[in-house]
Amino acid sequence: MIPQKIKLWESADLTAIKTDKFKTGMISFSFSLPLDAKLSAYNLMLGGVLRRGSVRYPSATALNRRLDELYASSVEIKNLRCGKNELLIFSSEMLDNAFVNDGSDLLDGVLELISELIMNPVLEDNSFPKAAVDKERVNVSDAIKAEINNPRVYASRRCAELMHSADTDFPTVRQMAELVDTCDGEGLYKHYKRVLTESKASVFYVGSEDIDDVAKKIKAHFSPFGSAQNVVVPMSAEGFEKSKEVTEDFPVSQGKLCMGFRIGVCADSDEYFAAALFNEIFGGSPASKLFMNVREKMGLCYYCSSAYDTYMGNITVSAGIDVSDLECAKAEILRQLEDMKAGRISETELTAAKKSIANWYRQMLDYPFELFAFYSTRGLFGRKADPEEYMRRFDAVTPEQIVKVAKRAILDTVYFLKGTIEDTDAEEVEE
Amino acid sequence: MREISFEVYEDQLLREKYYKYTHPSGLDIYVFPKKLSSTYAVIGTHYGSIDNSFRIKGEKNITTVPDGIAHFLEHKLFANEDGSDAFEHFSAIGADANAYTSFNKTAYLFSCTDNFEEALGELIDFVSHPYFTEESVERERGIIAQEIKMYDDSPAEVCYYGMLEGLYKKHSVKRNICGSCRSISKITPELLYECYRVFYEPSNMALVVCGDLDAREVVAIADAHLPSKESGVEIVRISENDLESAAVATPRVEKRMKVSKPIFNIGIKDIDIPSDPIERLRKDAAMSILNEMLFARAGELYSELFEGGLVSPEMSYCYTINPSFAFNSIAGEADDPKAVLKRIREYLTEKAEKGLSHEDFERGKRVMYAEFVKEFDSTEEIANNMLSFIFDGADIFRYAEIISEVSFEEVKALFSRSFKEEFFTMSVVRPLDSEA
Repeated sequence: MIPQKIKLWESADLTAIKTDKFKTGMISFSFSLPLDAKLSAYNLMLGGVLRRGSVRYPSATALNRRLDELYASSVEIKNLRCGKNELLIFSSEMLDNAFVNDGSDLLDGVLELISELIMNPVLEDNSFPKAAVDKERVNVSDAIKAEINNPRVYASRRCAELMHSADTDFPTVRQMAELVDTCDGEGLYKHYKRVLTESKASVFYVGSEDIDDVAKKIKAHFSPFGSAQNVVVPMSAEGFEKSKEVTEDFPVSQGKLCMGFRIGVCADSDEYFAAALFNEIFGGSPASKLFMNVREKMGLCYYCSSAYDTYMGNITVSAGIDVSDLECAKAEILRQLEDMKAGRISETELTAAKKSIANWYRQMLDYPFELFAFYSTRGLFGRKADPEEYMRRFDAVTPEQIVKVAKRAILDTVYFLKGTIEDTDAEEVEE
Repeated sequence: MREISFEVYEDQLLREKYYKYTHPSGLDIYVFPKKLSSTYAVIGTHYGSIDNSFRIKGEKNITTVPDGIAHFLEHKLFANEDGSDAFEHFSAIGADANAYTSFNKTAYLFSCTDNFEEALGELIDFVSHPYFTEESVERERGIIAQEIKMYDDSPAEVCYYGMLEGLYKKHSVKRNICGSCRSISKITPELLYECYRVFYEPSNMALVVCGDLDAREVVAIADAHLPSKESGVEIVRISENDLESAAVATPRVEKRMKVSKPIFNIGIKDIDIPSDPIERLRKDAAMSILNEMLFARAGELYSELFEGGLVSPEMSYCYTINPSFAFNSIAGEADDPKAVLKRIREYLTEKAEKGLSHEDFERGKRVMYAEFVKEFDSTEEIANNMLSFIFDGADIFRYAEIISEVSFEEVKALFSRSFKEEFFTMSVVRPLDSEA
């Protein structure tokens, strides 16, 4: 399970993990560029328009039929943010050839299809066709607006926007929606060219084939893409400016509380390992302080957890609570943080957190997409990605180091989505 | 330890096998060896949210309990008598534990890469030792009330349950798995103990373990934590499917919530449920192939709806069948859900007149085969799928054979009887400020 890496050509690498433990293989093509609202909006548009067909497969249906012929292989186009970079990813899963009996080469078939998507789109005079762009504009715009259908996601995003309000590159949903509205075929074509020639490009493969065979197949279908220049924005923790507290009414029954803390430690820091353990003990698992106290002891919520943005150096706590419990929940979350700052971290908690993280790194070996995410995102910043080394570093962290990180935590933003629907269930008529 | 003998199930094509052993306690233990890093174990009881009326064999009375009690039990079993929480025990040994309740089963699980023996012991121990007090039940009520509210605020959940409400007149599948704030207010420690006694009998349960393990070792570990004989409680299940008419309860259910545009769930009722497990599996396979032929993204209907901008790209479909209920569903987002439903119905009528295409049939089979093989790459997926097959009374490996056995004629016959107008209902959640 040790990855090998070779150059496909000057501007792009192939990383491959050869293993016969899966019945499916996975390959993904990533294109990373510095993040801003336009990149994010145009990546969404580009993914949608490319997925509508190529010269050889002129419609989404033709592409889908070909994928079904290739034994239900999949192609997904996703955007993944890594700090101030965004990756546009074309990722595919296909059955291993050992499980088809008609002599098909499914990896080759999938590569041909992805090359059609990426290298051979339907174009009209250096522009994407107006009809396709118009239709996709509606879909992308709907998808952006559909975020309100999930109050928890909406609240997290609002909290993140408030935390990044001083950062002009951080895309807000409003900016993205406006950019999508004005995106046309020519503008999208320019973006497409930029993605192909100016991004840091890489290919990642997990499956039963040799890296050289995979490279040969890729080269047979693709002409060189990517840029040899380093365009990656290094990670950097954001500084604290002023605390913000925002409440918004929303027509739901449950309130959603989000609290964003700055800890100033990113994944490239030596303190990263202590910071990840801090998050794990604070609210990262069902054995964490937040779960055990805010939920189990006080019964205030069904979920209360924390998430660590390792590229921006922030930790965000979220909980679904009764509107009337806001102050009580907030106080308890802060009290748990104060406990950690005061060094109240038991041996049991520390051991459990270390074991939980080690368990995660070992389980990652079973999930090709997780392997891709780990190696690609770490690799993006030039850090040596080695799960064994990571586990050793985690194991060596002392309670003092965790307390030091805890002491750095500054509450930056409190966002409360205040449910305005009264409890109707209580008035229900007896059956 | 006594001699143990396994039943061995093997599949040449998948190159997989699993072992089954019935423990003297009545618990069926399944071990699926798999050379992956993570080991996954799940112990489940064939008891879900729909089982709120039951009779014990040899007793006359039917007992009816409040909605949501199976799910409440799932939450409460994690609490131990010494005041500790099972999550803490798993966490201390680096295992990742969880649980879920569905319409017809409750499952407790963990995944780990180390300390399997302790983790399996802990799993069996906490599931076999209920401990409920007035105070802890009261606190859990608050937590579950928040869970219920979270789901009540989710338009996707509300729309899905709206569809079930449209489909069924009586069947308890239409009631929320968690119950309501009102129904859970009636749950007491005594009721929890009673449901536990009836449904957590090892003979009503199964343990499935998947990972890089030896079957004998797994049985030896489990044996040390299980009772040595059966207690003899036997449940008589009440078939709610028999109470349902073929026609839906109501063809339209509408609600209003904060959504960006209308979302819909179309339900297509099916009360023709074969009682033989293999026949049921065969129907599942045939209907799933038929769904691929009719509704897949590679098909003509989706193509028309998508290119015409009638639905958002993520339209999905699914056929569900188990001994108690069966239905087909299509879900999506559309400016005009009525127009989508109308077009789907017209398309089905056209297909009935012109006939299904054999090419689509072959495509459907190929897709079903591939999707099935892909499910054998994760210990989590294997163990949970195994559990579903076990409670449905079938062997998971039979499914691949059945997919290949299903004939075009069979699918055509199924098509001709599955999409009558009276079987359709549609649930829609509209934006708050929209017109009717």
